[in-house]
Amino acid sequence: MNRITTSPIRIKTNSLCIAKKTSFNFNSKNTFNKKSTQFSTLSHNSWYLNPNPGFKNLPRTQRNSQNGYQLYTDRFYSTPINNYDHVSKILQEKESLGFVIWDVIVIGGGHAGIEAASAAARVGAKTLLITTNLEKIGEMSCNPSFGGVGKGILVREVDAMDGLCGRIVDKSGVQFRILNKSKGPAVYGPRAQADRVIYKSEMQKAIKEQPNLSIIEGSVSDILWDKFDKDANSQISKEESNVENKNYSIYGIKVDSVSKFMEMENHSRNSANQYTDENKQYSENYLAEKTLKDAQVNKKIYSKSVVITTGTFLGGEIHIGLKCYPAGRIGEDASIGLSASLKEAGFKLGRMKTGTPPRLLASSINFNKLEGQFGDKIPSPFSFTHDSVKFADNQLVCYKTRTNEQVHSLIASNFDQSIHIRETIRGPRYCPSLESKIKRFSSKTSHLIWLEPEGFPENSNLVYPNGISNTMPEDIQQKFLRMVDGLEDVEMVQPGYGVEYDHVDPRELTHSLHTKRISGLFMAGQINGSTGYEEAAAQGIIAGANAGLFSLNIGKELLVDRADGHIGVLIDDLVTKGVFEPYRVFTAQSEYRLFTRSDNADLRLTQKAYDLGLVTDKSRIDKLYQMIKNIEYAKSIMEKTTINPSSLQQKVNEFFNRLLSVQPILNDYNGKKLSLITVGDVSYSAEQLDNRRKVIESVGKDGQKRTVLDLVRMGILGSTIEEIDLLVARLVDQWEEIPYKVRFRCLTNEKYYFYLIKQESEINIYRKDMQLKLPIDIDYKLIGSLSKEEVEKLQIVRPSTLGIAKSIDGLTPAAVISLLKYVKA
Amino acid sequence: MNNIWKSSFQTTERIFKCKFHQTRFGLAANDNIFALSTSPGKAGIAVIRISGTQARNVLDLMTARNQNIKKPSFIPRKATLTKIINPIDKFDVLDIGIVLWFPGPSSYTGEDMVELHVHGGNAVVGNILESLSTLEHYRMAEPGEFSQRAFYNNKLDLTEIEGISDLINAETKAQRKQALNQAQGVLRNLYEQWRSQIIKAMANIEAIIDFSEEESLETNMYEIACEIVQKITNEMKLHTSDDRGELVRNAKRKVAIVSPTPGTTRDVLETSINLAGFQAIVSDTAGIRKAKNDIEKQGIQLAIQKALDADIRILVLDSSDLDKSFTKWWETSKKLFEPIYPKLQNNGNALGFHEFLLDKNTFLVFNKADKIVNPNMYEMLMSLESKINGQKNLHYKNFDDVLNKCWSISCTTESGFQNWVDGISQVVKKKLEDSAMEPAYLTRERHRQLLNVAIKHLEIFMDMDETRVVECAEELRMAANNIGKVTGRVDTQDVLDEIFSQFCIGK
Repeated sequence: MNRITTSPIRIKTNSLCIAKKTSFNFNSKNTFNKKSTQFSTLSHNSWYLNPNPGFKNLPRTQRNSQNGYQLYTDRFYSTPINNYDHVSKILQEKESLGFVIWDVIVIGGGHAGIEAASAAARVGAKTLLITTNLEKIGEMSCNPSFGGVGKGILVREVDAMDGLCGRIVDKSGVQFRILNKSKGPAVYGPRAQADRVIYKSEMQKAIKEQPNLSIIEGSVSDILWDKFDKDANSQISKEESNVENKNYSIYGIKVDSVSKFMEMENHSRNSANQYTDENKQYSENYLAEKTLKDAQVNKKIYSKSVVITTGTFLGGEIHIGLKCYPAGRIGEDASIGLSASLKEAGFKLGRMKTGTPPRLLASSINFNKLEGQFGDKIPSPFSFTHDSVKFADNQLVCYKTRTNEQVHSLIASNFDQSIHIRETIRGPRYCPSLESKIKRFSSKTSHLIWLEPEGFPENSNLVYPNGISNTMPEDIQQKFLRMVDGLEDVEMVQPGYGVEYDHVDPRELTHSLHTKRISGLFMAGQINGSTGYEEAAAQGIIAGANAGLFSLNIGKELLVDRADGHIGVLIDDLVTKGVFEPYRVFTAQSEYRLFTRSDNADLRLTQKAYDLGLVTDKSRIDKLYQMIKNIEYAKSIMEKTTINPSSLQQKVNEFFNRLLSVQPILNDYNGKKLSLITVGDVSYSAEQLDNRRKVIESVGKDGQKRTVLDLVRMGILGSTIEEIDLLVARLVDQWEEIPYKVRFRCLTNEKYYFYLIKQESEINIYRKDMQLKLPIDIDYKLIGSLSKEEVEKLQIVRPSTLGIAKSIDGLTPAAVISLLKYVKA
Repeated sequence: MNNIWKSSFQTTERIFKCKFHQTRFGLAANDNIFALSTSPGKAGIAVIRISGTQARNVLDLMTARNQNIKKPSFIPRKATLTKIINPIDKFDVLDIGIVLWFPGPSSYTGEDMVELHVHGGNAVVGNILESLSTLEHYRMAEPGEFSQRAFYNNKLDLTEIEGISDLINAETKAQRKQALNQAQGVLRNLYEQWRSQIIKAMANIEAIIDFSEEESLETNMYEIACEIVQKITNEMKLHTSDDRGELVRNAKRKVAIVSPTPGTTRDVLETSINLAGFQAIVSDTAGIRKAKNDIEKQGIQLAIQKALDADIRILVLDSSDLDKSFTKWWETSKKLFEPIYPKLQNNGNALGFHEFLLDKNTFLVFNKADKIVNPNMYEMLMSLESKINGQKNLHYKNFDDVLNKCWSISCTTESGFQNWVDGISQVVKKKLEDSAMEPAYLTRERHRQLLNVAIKHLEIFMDMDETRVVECAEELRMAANNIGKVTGRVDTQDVLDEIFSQFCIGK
């Protein structure tokens, strides 16, 4: 029953060969020197390349019909149980009655919902997005920014799979900054402030153009699900059902009310998709209109799969001071019915809380007193398809201020005025409300506040004070705000508030975000216990693509593992470990973070997504292969250039000596004051320069000739990319002819070379473990040799592969072997 | 001036570090493993297996064969008699034995493998294992690692795994016990303390990476991490370079207050002693009798639990009044514990607790031999015989058998001690040689190697500066993982917990 497939999935092929096979047109100028030095036997960045290159040139419909194509499915670690046959009976009946049967319905139009709907539509599924307010699609309900450390990598990964948010931020961003510039490219955090209004309108424009997608306004009261009719004689009541057997299958949703549909502009975009009069009934607008009419009478909409992305709306409750009322966002109703029916299906629900700060009137803030923070001179776009951003020359400024003791004592004396803080519901430890910060870290007399513009002045007159989310009564909020530097006359437009909401225990999901209980039901975003736009978008694209693939019934899944990217870490942590506080990504959570960087998200994910039809933009693939080729070229010229110690010393020292004559400037480095000599993007302290020189001298002692590539890998030319780049340019001719982006990516790979080799082997072991599938319907008690504690742990997680079983905290190797043994017997 | 641009590293060291990097990363991935495959202890023949991409190096560097061009080199799967030499000193012949060469993939693990069949005995085997560890990219195998490699290389399917799973099971169980053995003492606490210190340093580094740009954190976090690492590196170096750890464990010191007054021992006192080369934990428990007060009752409860968990039990009786002593124990335990542990299953027969305790792993010691004029074991046993024979399912049916399980000693005059210790040592040795348990000296050696690797990583950390903060974090992670392999604890969540408890993160 469980065959172990250990066929190698990593393809160690020189990218050049791939390029030839795929008949991509390569510039003949760049012929590679394959002569290898002692290091170059392994090409650590090549295993994600597609071993079946001819395939991707086929149109998607043909691809889907090729049964033999099993590249990524081989290492998938959750088996979709396709109950399509079962629901198809119901759906066929409904179809014959003239109802529209959707492939995918996405509930919710937030960051997760948009990405899910768009992803499902991209893989070719007929998709309906239903949301309570068409105007709110693309709303940034909390902070006006995207990205950050860890989160920025998520955005890049979503973009690498042709997701929307990265592209839209590039079009609506008003300030772009790369965080962690001084800490190395592995942890760069691209971040942008966005203009809410432009973001929303750009987002709406983008989804309107998405083929296969229709959008309806309405409120969902329930999901339609039915017992899995595998054995017609056995009468299983809902209560008796258990996780092990997917007894239920989804076939649509129930709605309270539906009011209108969004007029899509997608049908005319692609000439192949042009609707003539006779196939007009397949057009997105026609389907939406028909569904709307039927649903107004019938209160039901039918579909093969459903993605729930309700955010904080599931059983949502808003807290301001001692006031407390049901709502998802301020001024918007919560969805209560859905929560009840999820409970009925047996899902374990939990409750979490989060908060948002008050909004301030920009004109009432005295910015002159405050320290500003500016965007990067040359903004780096999120999207791999963009070379620059729309408002590159028109970036806005953020400002920094701090709370003070006066504020703290005011809030401390009013703790009894907030119900949010008194309750035991779990809030995050990393983004606590101002009340909790003051309570938990009473020794700190001041906390940072970032004043972030919500957009260009013509679009928004609001400022978002990041860092002071709180749930105090309105009057106290106004009072303490005015105690802060620069906010003496501030007008509070909207008070901060707390939200409490239901979430589903994400251990109810597989790695494809498919629920284990109900076949065809997917979940993404805050409902899974995560927090943040980027986390929501990342889950959305996975859930949406998988719902689409599920409904198309082609036996494929999109799974991203921990080594593929931070999305994989996010999902793996959620579905195997569960959540104890709203989950957000940190780079520290990824054991492969030196590999899963923001710069190479395209290398890791684009091909994979393209193979499943998720990337519809062919130019992404072309760009990717061009980039691989260019990086290889940059590497090859470093490898070709050998240099003997004396000329190395001469060239570098000449440069250093010149630097030493420059007057150092006092600079801020990670909060420390240092006097640095700055050349371009690189800063040295005098001491560091001296040090670098010593290192280079020492290399010369053995008199050995070395390639520049070796010098880079050994860290002899410095530690930051800019620094290495500067020196390589002195040693290698033609170096500066290569575009900076390519040089940067090439040097990043080489800087971490030794670590990457090590991680490569770790990744191989991890993936081998992940390939070995275990059935998830075992009664672990029967194994006998397991301790009670181990049985409990297994019962909660229900590992579907050996790798997951191994990662369960507290499970001994002996227990894992017993499990394997039992599975065999 | 802050020391963030540390100029501490000497340039020559730098080159060395690069070499270490190559060693570590170039092949650490597929490093070569070796292990003693036969059971340890005195035996006619011992087999040492080596597996890995560079297993052939053993043939080249550790046999005299290849130096002699006239003799043909090794033929795959054919036994070859040759000298086995020290790779560092060619004239140091370690043994003469049979060498077998299995080029991959036609081998047990699917990798290149070498088998050395050498003379048994700790000295020879120990020397060869030590020599192997000096080869580049060689390390001692983890328990079950050969099978694991075979498994990954598609050499075993689950049917075969089933066959060996019992073995691995035993290995890992034994391994866990072994780890625990050391644990009870100082070592585990010490190692865990180091690991938690490293995690503390990691929390500082990770907080710099994930939060320093947007939060108002302390500015000296990197320096704090360096201080912590410097401190534990020194401690670890000191620890691995001398044998103090050993001394602590083997010291013959007074561990318990002893007195003839019943009820003196209440808590469970444990000490670790070396019996026939194996580490053993000895627990002294409260005597089982009708307890006078609550503390003693709890002590007796503990004693019962310990006795149930123990591998070997020793029942100490008073030989001056053997009959009374035994009867009292028998009756009391029956009365006290039958209601608590009604029936414990043993081979399908329902047994009372006191009966369960008297199985083949229970041994008798008759104390206070000085109190009786002529300590005659035979007579003493005779006096018990009627009682013992009255019970079913006991292992004392055969009188000779019983004789081997009894010792007469005197705590006052220390007479009979040597006999007893020798006897128990034999029992322990027999017991452990039966199982696939790794002898203590091998475990210790592996642990020492792991600690040394951890130290290397910490040293590399110390040589970096804040511009390489991500690599710093990587080194710390690897160091913590290596210590975790010794103590059996590896989890990453600790770091985040540490960050959130130390720093106010929240923007």
